[in-house]
Amino acid sequence: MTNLRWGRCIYHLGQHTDKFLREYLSQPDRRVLLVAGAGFDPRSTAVARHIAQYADGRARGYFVREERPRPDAELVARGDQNEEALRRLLPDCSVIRLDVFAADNAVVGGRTAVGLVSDLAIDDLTDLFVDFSALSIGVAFPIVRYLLTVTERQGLNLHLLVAENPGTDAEIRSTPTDVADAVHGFKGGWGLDARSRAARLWMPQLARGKRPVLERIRQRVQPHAFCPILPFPADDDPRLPDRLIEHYSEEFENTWRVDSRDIVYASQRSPLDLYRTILRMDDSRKRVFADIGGSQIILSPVGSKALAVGALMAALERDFTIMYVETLSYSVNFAHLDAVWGAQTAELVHVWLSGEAYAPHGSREDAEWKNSP
Amino acid sequence: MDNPFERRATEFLRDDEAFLAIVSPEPVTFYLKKPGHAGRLYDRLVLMRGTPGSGKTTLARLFEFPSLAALLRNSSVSTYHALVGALTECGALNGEQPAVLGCRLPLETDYREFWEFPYGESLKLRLMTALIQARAVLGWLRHLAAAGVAPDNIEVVPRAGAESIVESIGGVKGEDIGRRARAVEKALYQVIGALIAPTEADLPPEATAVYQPFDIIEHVRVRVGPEGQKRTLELRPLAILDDAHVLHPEQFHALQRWLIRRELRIARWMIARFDVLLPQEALAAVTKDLSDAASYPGLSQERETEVVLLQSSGPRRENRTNFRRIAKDMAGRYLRRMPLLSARDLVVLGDLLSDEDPTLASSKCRRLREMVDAAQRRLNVADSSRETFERKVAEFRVGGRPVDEDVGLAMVAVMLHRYDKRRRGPSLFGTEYDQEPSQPVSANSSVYEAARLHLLQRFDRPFYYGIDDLCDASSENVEQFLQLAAILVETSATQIIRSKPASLTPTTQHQLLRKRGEQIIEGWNFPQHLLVRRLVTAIAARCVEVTEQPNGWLTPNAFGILQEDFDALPDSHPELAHVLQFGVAYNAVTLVPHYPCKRKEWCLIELGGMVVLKHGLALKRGGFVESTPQALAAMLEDPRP
Amino acid sequence: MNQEFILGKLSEIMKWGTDQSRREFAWLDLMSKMKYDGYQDFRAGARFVESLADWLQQFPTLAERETAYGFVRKYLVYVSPGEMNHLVELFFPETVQWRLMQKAAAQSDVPIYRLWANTKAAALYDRLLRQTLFIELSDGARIDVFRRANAGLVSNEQVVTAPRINKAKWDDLLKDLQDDLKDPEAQFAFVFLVDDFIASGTTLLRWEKDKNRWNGKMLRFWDDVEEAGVAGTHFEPTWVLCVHHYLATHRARETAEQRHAGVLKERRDAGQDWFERVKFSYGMVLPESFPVDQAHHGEFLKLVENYYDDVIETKHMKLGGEDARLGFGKCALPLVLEHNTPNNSLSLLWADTPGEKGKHSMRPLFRRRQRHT
Repeated sequence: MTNLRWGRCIYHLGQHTDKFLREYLSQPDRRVLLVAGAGFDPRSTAVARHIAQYADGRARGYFVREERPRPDAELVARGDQNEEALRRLLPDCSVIRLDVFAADNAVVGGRTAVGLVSDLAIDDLTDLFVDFSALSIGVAFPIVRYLLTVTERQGLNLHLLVAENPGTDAEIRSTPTDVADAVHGFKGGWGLDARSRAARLWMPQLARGKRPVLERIRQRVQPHAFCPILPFPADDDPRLPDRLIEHYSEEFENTWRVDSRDIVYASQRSPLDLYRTILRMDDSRKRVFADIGGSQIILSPVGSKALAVGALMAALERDFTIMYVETLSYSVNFAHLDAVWGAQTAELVHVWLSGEAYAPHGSREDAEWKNSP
Repeated sequence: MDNPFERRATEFLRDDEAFLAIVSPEPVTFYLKKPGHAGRLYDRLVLMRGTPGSGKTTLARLFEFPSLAALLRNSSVSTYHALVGALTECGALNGEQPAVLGCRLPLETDYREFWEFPYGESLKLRLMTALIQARAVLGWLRHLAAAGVAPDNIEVVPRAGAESIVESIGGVKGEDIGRRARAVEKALYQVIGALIAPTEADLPPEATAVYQPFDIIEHVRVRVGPEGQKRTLELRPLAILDDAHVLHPEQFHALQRWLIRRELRIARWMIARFDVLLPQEALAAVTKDLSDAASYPGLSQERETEVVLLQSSGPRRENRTNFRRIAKDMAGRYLRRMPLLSARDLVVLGDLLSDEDPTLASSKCRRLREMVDAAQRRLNVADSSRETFERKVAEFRVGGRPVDEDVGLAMVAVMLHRYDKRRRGPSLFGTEYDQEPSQPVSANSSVYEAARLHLLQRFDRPFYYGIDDLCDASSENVEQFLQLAAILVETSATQIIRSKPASLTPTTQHQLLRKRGEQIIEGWNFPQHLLVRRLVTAIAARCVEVTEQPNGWLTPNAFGILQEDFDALPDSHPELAHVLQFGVAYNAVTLVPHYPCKRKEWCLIELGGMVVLKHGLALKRGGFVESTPQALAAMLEDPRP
Repeated sequence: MNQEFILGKLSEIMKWGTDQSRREFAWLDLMSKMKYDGYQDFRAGARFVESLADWLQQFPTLAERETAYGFVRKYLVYVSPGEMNHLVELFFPETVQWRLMQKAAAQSDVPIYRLWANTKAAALYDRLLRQTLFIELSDGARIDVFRRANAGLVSNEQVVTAPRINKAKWDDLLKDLQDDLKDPEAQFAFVFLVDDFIASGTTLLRWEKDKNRWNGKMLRFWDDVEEAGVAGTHFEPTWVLCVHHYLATHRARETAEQRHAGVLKERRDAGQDWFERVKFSYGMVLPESFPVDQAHHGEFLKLVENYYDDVIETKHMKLGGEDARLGFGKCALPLVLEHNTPNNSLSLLWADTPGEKGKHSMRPLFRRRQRHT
């Protein structure tokens, strides 16, 4: 698997992320922009706190408040608090309000977000960090795809960060809209006549409470084959895959008709694991279907954010389709959420997408070494 | 356990033959025969609007070329005769040949994307219609290829006067127009797929070049049959633009205006769900027979457009009968796929669902008798009157049989109360009891229904059992039917494994169905589901209250508001209208507009099957509680969910 | 469908009504297919549900059967081939690569995130990778899966399947290395000892009271190296011994390090040598709360207590006055691995005894194959 773009990737998990950020951001020449969500999610501020601390005075913020129709008052209040906290952490910041839905309920958040981000002045920066923690994938994925192109062109560093906390995810209930669609910028040839004969493999990422969403996506995708992704290993909970199989028993038995060999396991914490697995599957399928209509992989990252990053990387590299259902509204039991958030610490996951970590020759650092006495 | 009932119907229906076998010809005849006969389905824009579950997509798929081809392949099979007849009546089939080359094009979000682009309206419309046309052309070619027609046997016939511009669509040969369409599709796909839309100047030439196959193509001429016996078919291309509600409303109107143009020769249908349109139109669409006027210079909407309004409440009685037939047929097909059951020759779902009347345990029966006695005493009804009622009940027949003791007792109780009410009603003579009411109280089906519901509410006596109840509880929705049937079939299989009889008792069926209904409601997760749940729960609670009235005067499963109030709903109570839209979309409620009763016109908000099951209400339709928009809107208020 | 017959019997054994039967059948059927029926020691005609029926019947009362069944339903952890293979696949990218990167970066004096961009450091990484040996400690290490997953990265000459290596083999390995690197001076820099599971740490390192010495696989490896006399010739002076287990208990993670420290101290005190640099790692660590305890599983532990046959005890245990109820090392694990049940798991899960001399005849749910180490 040496031919993978991120087969040799710089990424950090848990305490290693913290150590990395501390050392890396303390370098006085780092000038940083953090793109993050300012939402009700308690994870909104976790990454900003690190960045503000280590890159004190050298970091700017660009905070996105995703607006959805008819929000609950408590959600708005929490969003306000987090926005306030983010402004305090990174006073040099702008906060933008982003309507995820148009007036006719069409999903426009991703397209609008890219339009906004494309106006950002980034010439003076060394590093861009996109914090997934409190951004929805319909907004975060297009932003990253866009920034990847820009940073590659300009030789800047692009990093992804996620404050991973599965307990928190479990406490946030979302009501999905009723349309399953490709994330903006991730159509991956979906719907093209040229793909009409392709063998469609759908790889839904399983998490509790996502059955209606996945059913909507399945109806849209009408896949020929199913490879559900189960979180394993999940350190705290070795029975998690079993419980998810049970939770999705109807789908496993009847709608998807899963064979035990079709199950894909992905480490709950490591985005790179899922990334590698998806590409490995793509390699073998491409061969099989090369002359008989082609193969099309459709990803649906609905569970943990760390795994979503893995799916994103795979899709960026091979232009896979990412199908999802945008969330129309959230409902949260904040008493529970606060308890969970207080009890567990969020693990920071860092993935370095592009920039000097990979520059093959003549990189900034090589040049500095040569010039140093 | 492998249970095909748990599989979604769509899986099964992917196969054309399986799909055709369960499609009922009635909606085709009911909605399309007249316009089809008059030729109005193919020479102008047909605008179909329908409530969810009204079978829009089924209808669309029926007119797709592969379905027509499959029908003709199997036309000797009797199952398909009715359908072949219906489609011939509306001009889709012509003797042994298909007459139209239909292709369904879901107007998925790709098309909505154009609306977000920073271009002028006309360019946005042009890009969108180019993509629609390219995909329609590709769809037609794909369908022909699937039917075994090679591209070199396909040729388009341009309309008179369009011969000179035929090059703009690639020419007349199948292969060439396919190539051109693919190039156009690809260029436009790149535009909508781009993270940031290109500026107008940067649009690829393939995307902006003139491409108007709908304006050019009049017919598609295909050569079919084995070598040496080739014959030529002239097909009228039909583009079925489904799910048009996904478009932005203004886009929708622009497209509609574009499709109305007389220059177009191809047949074009536009199908939309009503509930995602602007509220004003949304509820209006389902209640009015005319859609909003789309003005276009020189065109009269009514003359140039054929509007077909599909409603789940359409031909209601026929629908129910039909649905029962379809559901039973489908169940049989599914049962045959379950080895455990088919090996035992259990392939008729009705056979697994015993509908032998259950009776209450003797202790409960005794209590019931005591209650009837107490009611008689309390109401001061003479023994002779009660005896009359008992005699009438004894003479009453259901399906040729007398009713069981417990139902009989409950019927007597209902009659006692009716009797009491009637004699007290208009009487001016105060407390003079047991004066004969003017109209005698009879033991009829309404008393019978009320009695059984009372037994359900008071003693949980099984009410929902037998195949017909199962069908009726599904709100004419195949998916819901399968979901309900699945639990019954699985339980039957479990009994077989446990060496018990395969057939389920009414008690088991009743309990399973009610629980499943409750689970399905609990699993709701569609937009506004919390408010929809609150609304239907409140409606159901009120219906239960009314049903429980001892005289059983009404066994409602719906609320009715005056039609005029309903029409004003989007403006007067926008939130309620919004909630209702989703309630309808997800089968929580069905709207029955223009329902005449007491010399007024009502719109009924009928509870969906799952709600009926959960709350223990009547399956029979028509009983409703009179209400107002204000009362309904109040139901949405606190306590917040 | 053979499954149906035995399900019917099981519902008799458990006295389930129709409703419960339906629910349990669905679960049993699904989980058998997805996981349990893959257990290697099941025989034709007697797979999971049959074994379960047999196992449950050793408990005379319905209440006991319910306790036992409930335990399997809710707490038993079965690691399937797919899951175990996934832990194997994770080993290289998540553990080996990381260790090597650290060393390559340190030796090149670049920050680890600069490793791939720095030509020299990246070359050093490649060299170190070739200077690495992978040695399986048992057939549970699935070195074949490891090989396949890392084809192109790790050469066959770096993978040793026999746990004991003689001088001639050492020489071959070194020659391959030197030939590959075209460097007659090259030596090994890393050795990874790989095994599937560590529960108590005893197999790896243990103090043998009667012999008054340390023993275990690590010691044997030391002895091999000593015996062959290759320590000074085949290894770089700063070579690192890495001990990797795909799966570990929380307890083992604690004890392995302690025991290693113990050996080191003891041997140093006695003037003997021991590995200088040892790193332990794990693919997945079972949580601290994983073992069965009185507080959470009191009822089930009564069964463990009552339905026992001491014929399974080793001489060793008897000497120490211990019994094997909770499994070897009193680990009390509710764990089954698809290729065998660890002897550290509760014996009630795996023991198969004739029940002579009036003892209880234990029936296995997952029959354990004795494996000699």
